[in-house]
Amino acid sequence: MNKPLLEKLTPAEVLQLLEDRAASLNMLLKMTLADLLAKKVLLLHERKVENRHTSLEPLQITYVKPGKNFPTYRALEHERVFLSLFDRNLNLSIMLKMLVKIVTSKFDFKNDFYRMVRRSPNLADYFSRNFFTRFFGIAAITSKGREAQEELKNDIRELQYHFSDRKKRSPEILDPLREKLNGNLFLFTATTVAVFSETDEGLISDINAHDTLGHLPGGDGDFGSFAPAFDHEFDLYHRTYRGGGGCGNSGCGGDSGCSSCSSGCGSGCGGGGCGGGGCGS
Amino acid sequence: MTSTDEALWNAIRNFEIDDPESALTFTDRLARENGWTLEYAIRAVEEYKRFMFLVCTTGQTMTPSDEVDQVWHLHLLYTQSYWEDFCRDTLKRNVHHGPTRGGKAETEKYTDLYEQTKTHYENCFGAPPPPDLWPDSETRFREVHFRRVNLHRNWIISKPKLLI
Repeated sequence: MNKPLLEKLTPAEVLQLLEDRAASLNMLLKMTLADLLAKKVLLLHERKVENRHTSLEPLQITYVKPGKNFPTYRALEHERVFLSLFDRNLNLSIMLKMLVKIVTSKFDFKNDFYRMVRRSPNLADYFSRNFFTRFFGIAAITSKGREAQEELKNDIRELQYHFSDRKKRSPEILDPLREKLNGNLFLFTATTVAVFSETDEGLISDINAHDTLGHLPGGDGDFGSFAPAFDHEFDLYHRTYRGGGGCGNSGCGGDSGCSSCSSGCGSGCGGGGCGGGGCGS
Repeated sequence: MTSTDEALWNAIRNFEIDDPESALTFTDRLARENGWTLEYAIRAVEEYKRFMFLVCTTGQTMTPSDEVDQVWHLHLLYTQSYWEDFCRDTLKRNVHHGPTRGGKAETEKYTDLYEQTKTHYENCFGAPPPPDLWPDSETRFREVHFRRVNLHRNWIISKPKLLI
């Protein structure tokens, strides 16, 4: 028997199939990362980092590192962009904000990511591929694709209806579902997610032991309402480097300044110490 | 690795070179100034940390690849981060940077040191250093003709491979 599409497709594939270009790049990237976290391919953890600007408490920073399923996971092309950095170093741990920057900066044109998702073998039957669709970057959905859209819409509607009944929110029903849906869980409305969290506090924290998705305030909207720190990094990137209308990293001379402070070198430069390094160039 | 070395390596590995609150972090700047991708810059920083660990644990003079050296140069500009947060608080010692004095003898000396560094690296970390960040000695000491270019006023065009 064929797997239901919601269990087979990644969230980016589901969104691409249902919404095509109406799905924002930001959302597709967020969902893809959330899915990789849910599958334990990546893992979020928090670390305290000294606040260099003030003497206040250290900052609590979210980091990403390979999860326990990383070595065996067969990633799709649109997932590789989140994983390639860790290929050569399974011990690498980087700030979430840096991973967001790396991934987002790879897609100057949102069509590039859409194309990448549409190339997925899981969607092979759902979009027609010919010279014109490739050249113009358009998506022509096939009749099988339309059937798949209907199936997905029905499944999502059914699940939302199912969980609107409080009696059906038992862990016995929810646990297997969580295993199957991975990141597609996040495609439900926040109301549904809040329902999950009501019955099973460990729902999201099981997905990732220390992850920021574990903060479930309930709330009123999409993914962002239950993953504030996670969402923040994506949105901050877009405000700073994409939309905002500010100086960004070029022009305006904004990033060419430097400063001095009297205590900066005093203790550091003087002493002796170990041999250090020599440079041939 | 002794337990002392392991503790030092963990401290170096956990050292955060980027200011989490900066819009333009150290790694962003490193990538931008060298024309690298952010991904490559992050890997270069990781190799810099490994190099610094070798400097501290072998007690010998070590020579980095040019890529790792670029990370070091930039870190030296962030004086507070380098001297206080990194050297004083993390490495617990000062590590000075010594440029070449030029000439054939120096080139030979550093070529030899570079080879030794890569051998130490492999012995310590159990795998040879990645060649895209630690090229062979010939490439390392041949491709050193860098210059600061104002991209606002100039274009950069690659030479045909036959002429390199």
